[in-house]
Amino acid sequence: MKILYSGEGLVDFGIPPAVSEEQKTKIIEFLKQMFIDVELVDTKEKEKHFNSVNKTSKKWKPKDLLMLLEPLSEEELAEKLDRSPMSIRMYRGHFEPDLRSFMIKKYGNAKKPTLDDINEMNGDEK
Amino acid sequence: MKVFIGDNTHIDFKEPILMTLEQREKFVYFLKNEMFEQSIIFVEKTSDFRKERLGDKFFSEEWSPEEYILLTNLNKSTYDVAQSMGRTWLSINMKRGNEIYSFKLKLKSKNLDYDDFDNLSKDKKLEIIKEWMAEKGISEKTRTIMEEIKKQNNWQHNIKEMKDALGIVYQKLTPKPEEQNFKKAVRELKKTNEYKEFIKANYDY
Repeated sequence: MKILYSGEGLVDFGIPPAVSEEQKTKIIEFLKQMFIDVELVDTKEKEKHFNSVNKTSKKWKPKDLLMLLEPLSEEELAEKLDRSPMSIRMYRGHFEPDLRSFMIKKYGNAKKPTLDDINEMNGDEK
Repeated sequence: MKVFIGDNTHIDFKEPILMTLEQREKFVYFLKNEMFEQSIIFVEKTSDFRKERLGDKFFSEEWSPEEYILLTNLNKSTYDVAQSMGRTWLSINMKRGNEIYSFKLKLKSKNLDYDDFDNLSKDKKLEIIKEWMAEKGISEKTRTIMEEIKKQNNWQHNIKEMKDALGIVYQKLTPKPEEQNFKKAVRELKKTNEYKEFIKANYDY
């Protein structure tokens, strides 16, 4: 993240940062403390356009999710799980880090998750 | 001053803000200590601020090696990483989805797993990340040249017209890079959205 400044004393974000609700409140409070006149303007953002995708989604089963932890390529997993490479990529992007984070909170380490752990993380009943 | 509050989690200033040195230092300290991960914030001097503001276009920025350290810390949830980097949950998810397998292979080639990696020093992590990034296509040397070119005013124009100013960057670089790296940097810059949008706005009639 770049914070830019000029010799004339101007300061700017390199690009607009994304913030959580809590961060948004914090930065607004900070700016209001530093500057007298802070006006907030609700803005409609431009969205990134993705190619249209097939939106029929197949539910992920815990045993399929465990497969995502295997050292297999996107294509190999797509074939084994009968899913598109994009669906593997999208789920893999957050599943493993979120599971590890969950395991560390629960057990203090991220070793060998079980199907029950996955169910618990997903909020499913055993 | 006007602050744009986006409907998809981003914020922006309507225009660059005039700050005293003390205010700027406070602002940077606040961002580093109260908002985002310190290591990913870089303060740079410029004479050329962006014209487009939140709502004008979709913004994207290249991922720095320091961001890759956070991105590849698989012990951190996607939400936590997004928050510490000032990027959206979706962008972290997509990037991780694209990179996790490749990163796993890189660690495997070094006989490491995530826990080993997590326990390494920041310098060692950066070393592995930079090695990995270079292997993925763009070398550190090429990235440095890209950054040098982007420091020029109107760099897109210089690239498009192959202006003399572009050659000045090449001459200034020490140690002088091979011409191939320089050409690769120019090719990579031509792929960026910033360049494409500049060409669209100024040359596509």
